[in-house]
Amino acid sequence: MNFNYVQWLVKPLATISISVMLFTACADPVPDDYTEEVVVEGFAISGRPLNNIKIYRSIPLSDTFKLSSAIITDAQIFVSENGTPVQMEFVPDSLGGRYQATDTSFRVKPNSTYTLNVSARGKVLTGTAYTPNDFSWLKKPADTLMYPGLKNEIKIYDSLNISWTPTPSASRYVIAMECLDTIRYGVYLQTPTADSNRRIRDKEQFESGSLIASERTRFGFALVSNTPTVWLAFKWFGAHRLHIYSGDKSFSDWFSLVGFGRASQYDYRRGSIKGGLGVWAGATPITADIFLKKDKP
Amino acid sequence: MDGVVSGFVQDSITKETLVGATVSLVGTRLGSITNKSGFFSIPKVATGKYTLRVSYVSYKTNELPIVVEETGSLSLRVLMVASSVMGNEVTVQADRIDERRQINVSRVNIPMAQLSQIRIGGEADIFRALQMLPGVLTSSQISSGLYIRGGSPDQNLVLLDGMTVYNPTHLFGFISAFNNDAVKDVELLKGGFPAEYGGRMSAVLNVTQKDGNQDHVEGLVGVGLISSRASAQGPIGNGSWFIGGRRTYLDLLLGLLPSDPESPFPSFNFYDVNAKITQNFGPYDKVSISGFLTSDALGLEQPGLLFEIGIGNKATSARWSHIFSPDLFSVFTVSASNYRNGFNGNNSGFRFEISNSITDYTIKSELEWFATNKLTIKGGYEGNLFNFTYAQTTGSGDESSPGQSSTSLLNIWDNLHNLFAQGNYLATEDVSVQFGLRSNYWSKSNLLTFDPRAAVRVQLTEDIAIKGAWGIFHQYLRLAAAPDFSFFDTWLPTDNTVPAGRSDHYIFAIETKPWDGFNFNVDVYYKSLFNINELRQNQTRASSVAEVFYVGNGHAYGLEFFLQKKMGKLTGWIGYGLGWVNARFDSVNRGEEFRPKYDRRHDVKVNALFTLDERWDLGASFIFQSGQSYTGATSQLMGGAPGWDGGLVMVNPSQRWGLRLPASHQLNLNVNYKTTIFDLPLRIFLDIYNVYSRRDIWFRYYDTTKPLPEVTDVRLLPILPTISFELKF
Repeated sequence: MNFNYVQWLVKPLATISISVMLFTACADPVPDDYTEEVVVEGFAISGRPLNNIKIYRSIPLSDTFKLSSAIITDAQIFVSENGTPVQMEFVPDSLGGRYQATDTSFRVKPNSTYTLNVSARGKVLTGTAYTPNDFSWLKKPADTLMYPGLKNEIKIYDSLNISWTPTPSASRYVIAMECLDTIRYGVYLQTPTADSNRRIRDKEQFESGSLIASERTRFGFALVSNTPTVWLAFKWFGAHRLHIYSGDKSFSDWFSLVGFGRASQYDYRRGSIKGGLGVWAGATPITADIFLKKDKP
Repeated sequence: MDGVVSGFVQDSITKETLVGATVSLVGTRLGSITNKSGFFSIPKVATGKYTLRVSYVSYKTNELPIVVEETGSLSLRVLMVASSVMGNEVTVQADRIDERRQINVSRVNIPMAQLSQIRIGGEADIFRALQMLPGVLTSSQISSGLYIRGGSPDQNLVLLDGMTVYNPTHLFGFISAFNNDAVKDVELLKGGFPAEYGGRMSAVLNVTQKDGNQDHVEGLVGVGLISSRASAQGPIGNGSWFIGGRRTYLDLLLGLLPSDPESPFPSFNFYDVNAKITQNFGPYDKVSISGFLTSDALGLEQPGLLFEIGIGNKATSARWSHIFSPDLFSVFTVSASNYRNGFNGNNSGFRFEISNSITDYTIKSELEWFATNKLTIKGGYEGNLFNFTYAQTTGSGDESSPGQSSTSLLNIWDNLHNLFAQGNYLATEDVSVQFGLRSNYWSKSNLLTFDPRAAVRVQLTEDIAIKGAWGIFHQYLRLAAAPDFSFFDTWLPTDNTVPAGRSDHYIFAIETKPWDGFNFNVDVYYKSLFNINELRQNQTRASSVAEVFYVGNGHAYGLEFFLQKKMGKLTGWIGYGLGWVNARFDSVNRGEEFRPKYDRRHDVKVNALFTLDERWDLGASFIFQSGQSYTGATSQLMGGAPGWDGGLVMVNPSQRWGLRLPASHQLNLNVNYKTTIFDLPLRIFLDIYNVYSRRDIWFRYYDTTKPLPEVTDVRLLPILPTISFELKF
């Protein structure tokens, strides 16, 4: 039988092509609708004041994010420590304001439960944080370290090994290296100089281009109660404070979301606020100060 | 007294056995189709003279006079002569008799000659070719993972000469790890597969390697943009051998270029090797030993940073085919397959290593009994011994002098036992049924399950048949993988913290032959999926499978149209698929139903190959698909931390994968030219991938590092012309 190409190939192809063109329009444009959410961000850190709870509204995607214009100043906030209420107040500041314990001498305690209840913009948000027991250093970092140079970063140095007493409730520990002074360097030396501080590397491999590239604190994780302190933890030379946090599950989940500074999308499973977005988490820290000396001016 | 006509169908020159050849006795309704070993059997043949007709695509139909004598059996080796042009040989009535016996619901068998024409970057790729079929989707143009009727790639059983291949891809999923030069036959069962296959919920891809040329030594060398390849085959003893390999040479070329030690080129290479040796021990026994090896390696070393990634498969099988009698055929296979991947990196003293592997030792025996002209029974046993390993280390130092570290280790042994039995029964001249049962026992979970399978075929008229299939399919292995990259695939068993995966298939199909040489099929399917998994991202430590995955359910349904022409100067197909996939997990998308990223409503595929003359072939393929899904956002918030002055901006997502990207479409052209050089056949291939350079969107995300969150599209490959060569000797 002869094959009639026009009838049995061209026409069906043409029909399909036309149909295809019609389907081409079936794409969803980038949405511009806005749904306001209430966000709470607060951490109960053992030994520290309860002074930095932020309550704000999420803002439209068409606006530049500015916390000061999003802060909710009239939220009703209730915090209790092991069932005992903690009086809270709103305090304005340069970032729009925060909620803190009215008693400025109040300190978060270890092995305690902190419940949070917020009423704002017609919504009720709740959360529960738990601070683990105190723990202590077994081997602190050296108070002065000499940077070995970029090419020697991957070598091992015994002085970098640190360890602490384990806390049973922690699935992992959050490690924070905070640079205390990104400007000055020489003033901290035994014989002070006018030398200023600078960054260690021209380019930070995984932070480059991110919003946290300029943050003074870098986070990491340890799965057990010992770790080598690695050069990657330092972004500048000079005076630093190392924090080891043993946190509750909310604390660990939050840091798995934001800790590496690359998250662009909120994940409700990493948040700990019922009825809204954000975090209410507890942790107990230990700290140690380190001065990182330059390998070259 | 009735006899049995049996034997093998082979290529007349290479003696390669031919799979799926149609064998019939002219003037009767008796016939058969060769199995994976090229064997056929026609029982209950009355004494007398007949003409045996054998036909196979790309070969001239062979007709032989035979005599079935009173001794009862006749054993043959039928040699087929290849046709240089796919002529308009018409399969006549006898073919259709045998198609009535073979129900083959949702089975696709594309001739290798057609599969080899579908290339990307000059590389002929089986998976790329299968992606040209309706109902077979991909996550992107640069991924060769097969999403078949709503199932994900880990739900497909991929077999190579009976060996299970756990990661059949190179270049992190860009192309498959199967070298077309080594492949004889590719069979895809898109659903409703029979009881002889199990362990996966969606589909079966059955790849058979070539045995090798039993007549003379021949070889082939090919040079392409991405890789080059070579193969050789020839006779040995009373059998043959085959060996072939591919390697990319990007690392070798980059090594010749000057590079900045502060910012060097990454080093990447892949290779694969296929080998097989086959021996016939008399007319009743055949032994073959196959091997398969793949490797991908990526590395970078610069001051303060080094990493290495290694991915690979190793597999070997030994297969013994034995003919007990003309109507009783057996295959006994032992195989071992290992897939491993590993990453180790050191960033300014922070060392991180992760590695995992799956090793599968399998023993399988099958008996195929051609009981009567109406009834074929197949049964067997398959036992698998698995070893899963996983290791994760964080610490300091380097490999030569590691510092303090912490390591998580997992080492699990487990075994799975399967028994199956299935029958094909020609109830009447127009009705055949297939029934089967597979039982599975999974030791680690102490779980016994049964997978019943059933299919029916009714020939309504000479040219129209309807088919239906139903079955239950259990799966015990789970894959933790990123959806777009085959980068860090980790196979895990089902333990007692999660139930086994299961799917139920319901398929209805209409099969027609509108004109000679054409097939037109319509398939309607519904698939329910139970206990499917999504990876828990950011999980750094897990002691059970439930801590690695979220588990949920889903369903997929749709219909497919497929018009195929296998013979003549113009061959190819047009396919259209319309499908839906939905899933629901308690811990994903706040427990609401969502469609997976790879759900595409419309799927149009056109593939054509035109043989202009003895030297020139022209080919074209066109794909149109509804856009993939993306997740929108409804507002933005900040993520802060103790010690941060600001924080990072995040968007609050809306319905997961709730929006659709623009449709993707692409046209590829290829031209093949045959000539000779030094009297050796040379083929030159010119391929133009993405002719009108449509840069489809790979994925869309919100870039929150800008002052305003910016919707950013990452686009796929532009036009890519390539030229490659193939020389035979």
